[in-house]
Amino acid sequence: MFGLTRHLQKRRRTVQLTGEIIASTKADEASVDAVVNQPELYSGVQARSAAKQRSRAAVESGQARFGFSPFALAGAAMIVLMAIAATVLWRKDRSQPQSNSAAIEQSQTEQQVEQLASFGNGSDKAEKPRRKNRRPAIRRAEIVSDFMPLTYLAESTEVESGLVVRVRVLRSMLVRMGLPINAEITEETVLADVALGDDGLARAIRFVN
Amino acid sequence: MKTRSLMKLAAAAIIPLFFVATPRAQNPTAQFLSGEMRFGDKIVKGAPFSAEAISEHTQTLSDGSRLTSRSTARIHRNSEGFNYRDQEFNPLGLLAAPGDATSAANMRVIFISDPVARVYYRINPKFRVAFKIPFEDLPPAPGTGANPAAVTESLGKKMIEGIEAEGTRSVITIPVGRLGNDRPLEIVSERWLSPELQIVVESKHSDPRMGENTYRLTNIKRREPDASLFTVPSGYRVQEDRNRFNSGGASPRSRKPGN
Repeated sequence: MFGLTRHLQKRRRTVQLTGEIIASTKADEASVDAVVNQPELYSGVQARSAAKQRSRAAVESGQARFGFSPFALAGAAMIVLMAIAATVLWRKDRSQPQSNSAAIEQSQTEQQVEQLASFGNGSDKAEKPRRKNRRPAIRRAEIVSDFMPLTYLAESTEVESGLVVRVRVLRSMLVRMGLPINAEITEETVLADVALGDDGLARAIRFVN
Repeated sequence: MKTRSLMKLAAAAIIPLFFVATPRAQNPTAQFLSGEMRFGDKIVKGAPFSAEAISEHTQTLSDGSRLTSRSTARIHRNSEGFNYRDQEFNPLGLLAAPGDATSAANMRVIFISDPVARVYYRINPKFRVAFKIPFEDLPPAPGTGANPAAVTESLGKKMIEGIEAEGTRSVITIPVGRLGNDRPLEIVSERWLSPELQIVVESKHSDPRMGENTYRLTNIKRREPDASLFTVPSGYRVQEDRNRFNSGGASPRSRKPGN
């Protein structure tokens, strides 16, 4: 008897809880309906959808216009960059002087300034303030020959003052000047200091190693 | 579509390579790197002037064609013996590429000598840098070697650009066979020196092997130049530059400024 009563009480409690759950579910559905029926929600979804469509169209039109996918474009750019890098290395290896206009341009670049600055350091580097920490070691590396006269001058008529200029010169040019240079390697260049009188006359040359 | 894309990709990669890998047709004989330092300058006080210097080099080739190059400089000196020289190199005479008057690079360097502080400034106007060099670090004037005997004669005096100048002419003869020459070669030099200003006003040097070189001062003005010319312009970085010419090149006739 006591067990039956207990069972009935349990069942009643279950029914009551079920009713509460159903009631709460109905309340949620109502609030969801309220949210869904808001006009802002619809316009938001519509805007998102439109944006997605636009981005897809942009990608498709890009492909149609250039015939490349973004991956292909990235690959092409990478190859071009590699080609440029290879060219820079290739030109660096070449020790010949550049064409005249190119030489002018090059001498005006910051790189040339860097090269000129390290005169006295064994490399044909150009004029720019040098870094202190590199200076002593580099300077010791330069070896210069004595000046060799390029022409005959009488003391009574020579222009005594002038300046020293540093040049990179083809060996063939030195052969033409009458200097004893190995004619088989005339296409190579050498670094040299040329003493020019104020009259513009090249008086003497020395070589820099 | 895929094949077409691949072909375009390959073309994009190969075409730039073609352009950059083409060797340059020009092969000039010399490339100017820098104007380094002056030599042989004297300190002359009490004779200020300003002038423009023009030097020209002409060489006639065996086929009759002529190579000509021209360089200019603006020079100033004040009463205290400060010197200013704004030099353009274009091109370097013999170092010019055959047939190409623009072969040596156009370069400009300014030199200022300060006999009071006994320093030189080598100024690179493009990069706004002035290198400061003590007089004792200057290179000696390079010698001209053992020359055959020169025959010298006086040419008297004449006025050049309003300045009196004394002329001297020397002829050096290279005898037959010395250079493999089948007849004597004559190297003729003329120099017109102003005793008052202690400068060469005009000169001419003719060597059958190398051509003719002429030099002259024009627009000579005997007045005190602007003092600002003899100082490093503001905004330029001044940097010490020592011991650059201490090795090699010494000559028994070497002379440094002030000596």
